[in-house]
Amino acid sequence: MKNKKNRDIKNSFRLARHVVRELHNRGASSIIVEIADDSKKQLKFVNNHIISVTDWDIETMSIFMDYKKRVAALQIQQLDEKSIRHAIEVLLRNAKNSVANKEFMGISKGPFRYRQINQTYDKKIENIGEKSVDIVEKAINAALKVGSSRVSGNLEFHTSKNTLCTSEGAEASDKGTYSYFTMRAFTDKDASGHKTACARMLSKLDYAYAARKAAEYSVESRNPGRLDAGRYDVIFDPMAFSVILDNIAGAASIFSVESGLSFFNTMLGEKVAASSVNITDDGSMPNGYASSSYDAEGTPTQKTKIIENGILKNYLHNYSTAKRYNAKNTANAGLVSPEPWNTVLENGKRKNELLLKSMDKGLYITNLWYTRYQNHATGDFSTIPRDGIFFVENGKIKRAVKDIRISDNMINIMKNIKEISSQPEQVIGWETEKPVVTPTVLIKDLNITKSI
Amino acid sequence: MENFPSDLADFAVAHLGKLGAKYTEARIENNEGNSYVLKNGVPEIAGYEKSTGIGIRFLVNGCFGFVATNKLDKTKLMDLLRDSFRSTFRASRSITEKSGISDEKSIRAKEIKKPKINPLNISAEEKLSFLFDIEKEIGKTKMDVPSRYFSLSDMHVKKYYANSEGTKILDDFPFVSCYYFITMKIGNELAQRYWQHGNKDGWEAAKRWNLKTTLMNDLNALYKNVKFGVKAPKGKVDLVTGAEVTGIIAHESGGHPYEADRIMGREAAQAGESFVTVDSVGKRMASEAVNVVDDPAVSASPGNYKYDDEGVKARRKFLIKDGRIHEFLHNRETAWSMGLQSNGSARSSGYDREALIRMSNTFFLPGKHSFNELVEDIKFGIYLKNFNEWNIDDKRLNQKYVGGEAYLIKNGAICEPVKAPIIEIDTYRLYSSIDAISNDKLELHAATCGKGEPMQGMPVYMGGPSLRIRNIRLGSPNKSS
Repeated sequence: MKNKKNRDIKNSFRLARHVVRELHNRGASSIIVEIADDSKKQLKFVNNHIISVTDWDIETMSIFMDYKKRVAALQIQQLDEKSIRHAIEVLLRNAKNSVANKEFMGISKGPFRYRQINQTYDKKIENIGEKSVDIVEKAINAALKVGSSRVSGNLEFHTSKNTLCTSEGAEASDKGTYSYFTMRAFTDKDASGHKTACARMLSKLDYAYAARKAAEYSVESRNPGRLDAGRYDVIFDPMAFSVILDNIAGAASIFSVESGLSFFNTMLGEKVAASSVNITDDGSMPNGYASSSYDAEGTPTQKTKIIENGILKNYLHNYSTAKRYNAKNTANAGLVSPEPWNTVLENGKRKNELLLKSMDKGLYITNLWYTRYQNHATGDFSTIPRDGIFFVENGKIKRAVKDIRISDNMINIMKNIKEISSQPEQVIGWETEKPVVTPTVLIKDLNITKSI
Repeated sequence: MENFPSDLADFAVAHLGKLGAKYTEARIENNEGNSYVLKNGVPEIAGYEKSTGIGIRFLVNGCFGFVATNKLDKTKLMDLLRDSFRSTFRASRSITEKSGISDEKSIRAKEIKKPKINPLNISAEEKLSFLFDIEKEIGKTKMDVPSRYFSLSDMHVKKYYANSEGTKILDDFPFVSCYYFITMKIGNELAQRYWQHGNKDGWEAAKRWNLKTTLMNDLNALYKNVKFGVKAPKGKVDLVTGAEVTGIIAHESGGHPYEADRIMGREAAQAGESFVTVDSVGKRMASEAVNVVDDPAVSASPGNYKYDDEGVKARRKFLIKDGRIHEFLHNRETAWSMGLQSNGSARSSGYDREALIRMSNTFFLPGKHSFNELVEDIKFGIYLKNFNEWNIDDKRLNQKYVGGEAYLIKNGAICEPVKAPIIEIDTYRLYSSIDAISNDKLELHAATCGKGEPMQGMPVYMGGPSLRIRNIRLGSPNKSS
């Protein structure tokens, strides 16, 4: 590396291979080097006006390795020769001074062949520039036209270039684009609607639909009233149910199970949801917000059934955890903690409107906020509905409601799923950190509480 | 911390001035630190991170632009600033309500906090030993603790701030923190406890946490609560809070509602808004006993700073004084909107994040009574020492706290443990029902506060003495699976 010129340093593959070789020569094994280059633009709008424009341009190198089972990792943001050399020395010193992780079973064995995932890169997003301003202005106008008095939110575009090399022969690179829109619309302080949109291709970012729905909810939720605490059937809009499914997928990670953070502990093979429920982790879905050809070890991504016909089928694993449990590697590395990709709830057969029409009495909830557990191991939790909560009677929305809380149990909720609609949406947002694809869902007998 | 490129911040400020920015500020930040995870007795990983980057914020034609990069090359930076300036100017053309910043004094300062023991000089082996010692202590007990998760982190932060008004501040400090999450099995029941510690200090702070003792106390309390705890009573009770519960109340409904950016709707699509309005200052919202402050001056605290991330000198803010709303938390943007001066509440989690209005250390001030006096005057009630589940709506009006370690109070005495008492109450009723506050020494606890998109986790303290809250109706338990 000593005499390499700058242009070589910029060549991610050559650089990554070089670091792998150098660490290997110094006695390290299970080496993974990943170089990421991310550029991102965000427009923030508040009360109908853009108030800030942010641009990020950041490169990162991550290295993972073990030295006689002592596992160490680092992340640096300066990719010049001196910084990398220093980082290698620190990494080796830390590993040598550390204590053996007897449970570490190595990393995925390559080489691998990767499939290109469709609809994950769009030049129009990479070159969006000042056109982003027009999109925000169109979205604001669309919401105001529906009747909102003020709207706030973000529009984001992100391009990520990623290169990965491992000591086990995996070599992969990927270039992906991401677009995200979030809008919260108000008609007064207590009447709001919130909707997000996300896509890997600009043509699939339906910001106009999100703006219109947020505005419609804000109009319909005018003059919200109180509701008695008790048990109600509830229809969850995709944005609301994505929060529940984000928690379900997180609880399926073997890391959560081992850390006491999962209500799926000891439930593999058991019934954890209604028989109609099929949930898949899909790392290879076209236009999937988290889709990637490979995981953090270079293993090609796949589809993994988490829940099939209501039965918990798989925990999410990386190579090492899978080997430890004599299970199949589900390609969800995360090197310490396996992580879900896109969580997909299988569609039902009927349209959203028919779920509403079939409800005698209950609630329609469009968004959730601040989900916290009383006990992660049992799944007892509460979460707060907001932005359009509606009381439904005889298949029709009768009035808006405010100031309620769902205080229930995750497994109860999944077992009480009565119907899933045929119209899925892809969701990420403030409360849904990992992307979820979910239709509208009807749950029976949910416990609603409120301040007393 | 070699090659710290503070000149690049000065360069960026000057360059944007040439492009036509009305105001510019730049922060160069260098972070270097380690992190360790010990899970169920297994050292998962020794992590290291180092970053140097610059974040530049500018105001053009009433619109803010922000640029963050770690590609610290002047030519690249100029290209990035040019493009960002163009986008921001283009966005500003349609704005009818322009943004601005308050007038503030320019400052030249160096704030260097040297650790007694530099965490970067402590080996991975020694830091892991620190966690293994706790593991051993748990092992000595006969308790069944099937899941034990510990993380330990240290960081050295060096940042240089400059703005177009001549302010130049160098800030250099260490930070150490830890987190634990344990699951205990008692019969067929699983009980859990998590907590965290953090200090703007060197490795010496880790010894002050006294983790072995506090964790053993936690385990004993969990065991007794499951084994001997009675069902939470129904109906109205009086309540006495421990410092952890006092703290979460102070943070969630005594601090967040008074962030001026929430009040003005700036965070509506992210962290939410507030029940408080711009004209709420002076209005009563609590009993006269209540004083809540946000104070960045608490030494070695997670929320400790002398100058905020807009270069404004920080000070203690009374958010609630004698039961009345007294002051909001401001940055220069909200202060300008309200015709005020900033009170130094702008904080950023790193060079790549805009500075937002954040709490620092938020707590109830001590009152006039001893802890015993609070309890002695209760016929039937609950002492809520700590909590597990909590949440609050995005207007900060409806909140829920579920007791972890909690005890019944009968005829003025703390008695047997009680299981998971639930407080679900609106902010006005909660704060108006506080009739007495203990005069104990302040007990402050570390926490991480989330705000912004992308998310910024900021270290804070929250706490205070014990509160006595009268005549609270307890909620019903969830129906478990």
